[in-house]
Amino acid sequence: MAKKSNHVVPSSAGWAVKKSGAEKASRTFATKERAVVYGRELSKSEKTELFIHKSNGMIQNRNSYGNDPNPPRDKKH
Amino acid sequence: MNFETNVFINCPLDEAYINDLLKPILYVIIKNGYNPRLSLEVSDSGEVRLEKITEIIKSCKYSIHDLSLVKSKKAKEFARMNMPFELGIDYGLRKSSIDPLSEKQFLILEATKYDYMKAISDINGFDIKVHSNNTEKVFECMYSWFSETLKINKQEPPLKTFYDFIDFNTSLFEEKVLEFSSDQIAKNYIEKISIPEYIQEILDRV
Repeated sequence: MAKKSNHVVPSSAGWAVKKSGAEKASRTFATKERAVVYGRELSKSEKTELFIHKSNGMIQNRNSYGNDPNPPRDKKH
Repeated sequence: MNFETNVFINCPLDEAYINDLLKPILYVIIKNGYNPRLSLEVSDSGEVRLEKITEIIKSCKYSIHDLSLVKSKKAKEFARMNMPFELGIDYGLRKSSIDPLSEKQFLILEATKYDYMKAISDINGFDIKVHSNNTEKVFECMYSWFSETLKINKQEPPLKTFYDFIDFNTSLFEEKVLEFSSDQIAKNYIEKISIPEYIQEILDRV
């Protein structure tokens, strides 16, 4: 079974990190920057993907820390 | 299409509004089993635009009128009048005593509380909700309207629906990354997608 990805998403308290499909956030943060730092560390330890969303819910960035079956081919070097 | 489940959306169609507010509104309408109708369905230049819009309005029991752009944002910018004009048409049809148009029900959206009082105070007493140009807030507006006006019970909480919307956009993104082999193109596809195509993507997944 594929590992669940992590998502940095807006929340009424500021920003949150949640698993894909989860109803509740794993943790909430006052700023997006702190949520991204936590999400990155969590995703590295779980070897999974981190999706960073905009405040409207759209995708801003995707970072892969595991065996990504579809790695992005357009990253700048 | 069914009058009882059609929802006319009368709103700005600039890119920021579409991505921040219209896409969530479409998602909630479809998730609740209703059918969104918009003026941009009118693309045939051979048709008289206003007549076609009026036909769409007549086919909808419910309407969402967003008046957030009746106030210009900077000097020399015109306020947008299409939205209050189409609200006026809708109101006239509701008061026409023609069945079933008298059953029509509206939701009025605005960005800042009581701005409508300065621009169009005649609508005082309508169901007016404030979205503050904020995506999470518009999910709360839609939740309240579906509960209070359409009497839809046992809806999921607005934050859960917002998170489902995020999961929907992630699923769409992943599918497009597979198709285009590029994160950038997948993001561009989702941000620039036409509204009829976005509606179809929601219908395919909800």
